[in-house]
Amino acid sequence: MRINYVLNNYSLSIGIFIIALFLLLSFISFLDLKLLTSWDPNELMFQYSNLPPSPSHIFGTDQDGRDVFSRVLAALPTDISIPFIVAGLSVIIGSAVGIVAGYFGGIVDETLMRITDLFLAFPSILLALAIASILGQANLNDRLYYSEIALVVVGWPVYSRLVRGQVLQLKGMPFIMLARASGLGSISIIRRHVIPNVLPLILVYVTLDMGTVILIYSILSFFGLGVLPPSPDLGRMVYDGLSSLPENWWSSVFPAIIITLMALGFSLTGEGLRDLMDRRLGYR
Amino acid sequence: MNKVLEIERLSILYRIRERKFRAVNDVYLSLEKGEILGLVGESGSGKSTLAHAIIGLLPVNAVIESGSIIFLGKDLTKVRYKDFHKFRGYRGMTMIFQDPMTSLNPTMTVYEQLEEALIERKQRIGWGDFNPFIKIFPQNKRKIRGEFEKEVLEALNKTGIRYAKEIMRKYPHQLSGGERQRVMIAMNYLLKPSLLIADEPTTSLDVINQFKILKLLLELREELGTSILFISHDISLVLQIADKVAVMYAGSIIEEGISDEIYEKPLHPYTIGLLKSIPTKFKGDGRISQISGSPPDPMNLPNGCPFHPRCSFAYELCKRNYPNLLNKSGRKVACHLYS
Amino acid sequence: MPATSILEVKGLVVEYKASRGTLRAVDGVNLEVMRGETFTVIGESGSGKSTLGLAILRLIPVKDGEIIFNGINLLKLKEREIRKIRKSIQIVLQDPYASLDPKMKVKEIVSEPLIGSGEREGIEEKVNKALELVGLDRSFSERYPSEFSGGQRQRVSIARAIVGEPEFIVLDEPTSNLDISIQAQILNLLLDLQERKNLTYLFITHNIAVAKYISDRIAVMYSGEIIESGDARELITNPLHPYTTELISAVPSKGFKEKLGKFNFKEVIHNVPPKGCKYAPRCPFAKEICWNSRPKLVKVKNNHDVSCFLYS
Repeated sequence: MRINYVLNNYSLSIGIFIIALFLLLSFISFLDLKLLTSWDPNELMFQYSNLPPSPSHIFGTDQDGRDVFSRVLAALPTDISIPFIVAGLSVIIGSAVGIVAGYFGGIVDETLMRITDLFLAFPSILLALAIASILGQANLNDRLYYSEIALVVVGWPVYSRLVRGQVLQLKGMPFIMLARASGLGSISIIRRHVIPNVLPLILVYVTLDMGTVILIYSILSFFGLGVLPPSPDLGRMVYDGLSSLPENWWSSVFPAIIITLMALGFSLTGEGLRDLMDRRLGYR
Repeated sequence: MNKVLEIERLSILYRIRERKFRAVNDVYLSLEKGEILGLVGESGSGKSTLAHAIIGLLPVNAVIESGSIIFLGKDLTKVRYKDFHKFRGYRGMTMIFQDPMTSLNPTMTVYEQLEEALIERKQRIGWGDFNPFIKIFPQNKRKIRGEFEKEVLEALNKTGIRYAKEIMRKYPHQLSGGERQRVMIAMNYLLKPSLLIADEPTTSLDVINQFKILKLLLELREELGTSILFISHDISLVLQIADKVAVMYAGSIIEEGISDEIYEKPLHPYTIGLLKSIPTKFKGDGRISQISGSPPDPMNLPNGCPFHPRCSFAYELCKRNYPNLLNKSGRKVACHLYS
Repeated sequence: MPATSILEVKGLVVEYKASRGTLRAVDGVNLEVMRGETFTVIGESGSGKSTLGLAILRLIPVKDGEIIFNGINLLKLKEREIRKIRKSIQIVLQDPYASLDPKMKVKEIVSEPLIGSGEREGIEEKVNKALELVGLDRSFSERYPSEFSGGQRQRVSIARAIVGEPEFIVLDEPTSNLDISIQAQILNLLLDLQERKNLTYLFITHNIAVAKYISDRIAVMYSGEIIESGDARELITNPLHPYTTELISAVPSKGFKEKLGKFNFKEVIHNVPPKGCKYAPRCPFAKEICWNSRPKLVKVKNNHDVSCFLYS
């Protein structure tokens, strides 16, 4: 019965397919890039610069003669791990705050929510850019980590609000009151009742969030706040290829398409999961 | 035309997750003008499905498999969804629900909602025609509002609601359950329907509010001649308030007759069991008998008579043959004991 | 065996904040429940009866008063100490759907009182026994509540309440959301369990017929106060307080339609007087004293107390 849901749910199946494909490619690329392509992503070969897409260079070459397809594949492991790390950390921090605020209420709730509001008030992209660039000045090598930190700082408040709302709803349910009547303490109740019931919601949003993270990270790395060259990075590849536009469009456009595709994969999966949840809720 | 509603051979199918089941099975019902017909059924009996079919609010996964619903001479099963509104409202049918909170618009005041009903009535020219070009223009609205207010207030006062003027300005969430139900009834005074379908109207109310609402329903019937289809799982209540009663089980009508007669002498074992389930004894005077088991899963009905697994009178025939609804001197019963 | 008192409530006051200020849901309630009996509190919605039940279980904050269970004042205990007692006092709530966590299996739900009191061993056996006692098959323990009907879910709730061998159970409208035929089953089940396990019930309901069937003693609650109490049979056969009479006469019975035609309840047009009897605005017999002072609960007959100036 469950498989049926997945198969009939086009968003979910296509989304999962895309993510699975990328994960697979990233994994192989991480282990041994040579299995997928014969070109070295970092070797500068000016004699091959700006070649259009062809059977031997599927995505063409950039202005430095590097095969774009290989570069994309080489960038995948880093770029696909980022949404998982960032969204993962955001959801853990945000949910923890949301659960504590929602369950305990009172002044704890007030304080935590004011802090959340503070972070929510800033436009996320600008804040992320600011944090990443300021931190990044210190140690250029760890720029990737600083970008990730920036994204987590910007990303956790949404979960806090979301989870708190759900927890408030849950608090009014009789089975929570009955758990207290059974002698369970707050921690136990949170562990046994609150978390399992907020998990479906979190899962939906974390998946959708991953799509957003990819896009925002790409913007950050576009502005030079991602991994340092020569390590390939999709966002920076788009930037690097800008000067070659519009005649040698492939070195910018293909990385951009890949970014979009990854984000789409997560979005579709998230939407599909949301439909799944709604449908489940429709039946008592 | 004395019959307001005549249902013949009605069967309704539900489709859930690729499986189908019959929620309403070959039902015959009729309701005369000014009559109160009680429909008794527990969960899974199909009574709500039947009600929704009559008022044209079946969900998308339900389909009328066969039969007819004839309302004031017109067969509603042949009416398309977009035309159905013509049969609701003024001189048509209305419905009141168990939870009036969800039938009232939370963003409109009581007055605004009643006014809406009133305008609806005033815009109808005759029966069956709806002229959308007659609108109440804004410049006329203030002048007309004075007259409207009078009529809305009159309707509210008829329901005995106190502080009617203040209530008019309030929003539904500011009213109590009993008050909301009275607003629904006021709406019916304005709409003057031929048929009022009341789906568990007093189930969520306490005894005293229930009394008041039932009294209002009776007055509505007296004054406007509205026929009422009173649906409830509380057989003791329905037998007291309705003229005729039909008992539903697993999608079929298994007994039908005059309330007083059924109260004195119920025939079908399910009806007998239901009446016996009502606690009438004091503690220490012995147990009330109970019907064992629970209502059957509509997707998995037993063979033969759907009630036989729980029936203390069941015999071989009951397990094999489905009992038809037979006429026994004014009473209809679907049970092999009487054939 | 002489009757012993298992629960005594003295001067209980529960307040909560509403938009209009603080409201007293429970306004000075005194009652005493004897071991092994069913003590029923009848009232309409808003009377405070559910609040009373929750307060006794210390699930909501209490403003004033004493709740003495087996000689111990529950209100003087700290939360940690209360947990040890929780196994002995349990509660069953009205909504069979919202009372069970949809993400937990039946066995996890039913075992909760045991887990809450720190038990670790023999849980499965006790859960199975509890399920058996409420008429559910052992196989139910591995399933999820979403597969069950309302009646079955209430049985699960009852199983949870009895798994820890409690002495006292509060039942807040346990059958109000169930079909009539299922209600009969559950009521009979509760009576059977009471006999087998010598349980004491505090039963809360608005349904007079149910109260009649299940109670040894009844207290009628109105606007946070107990206005009449006594032996069940006596109280229902000879109601004294005008409100009780009103309640009983509103129950559908033979000749109801004629009654609907002739009779109606007084509509309240005054506000509740601050110093007088809370029922005065609705009372057909209200006299001057009723508006100026509050009546107290006094004994009128053996096993029949009433709080009304008609009798004092």
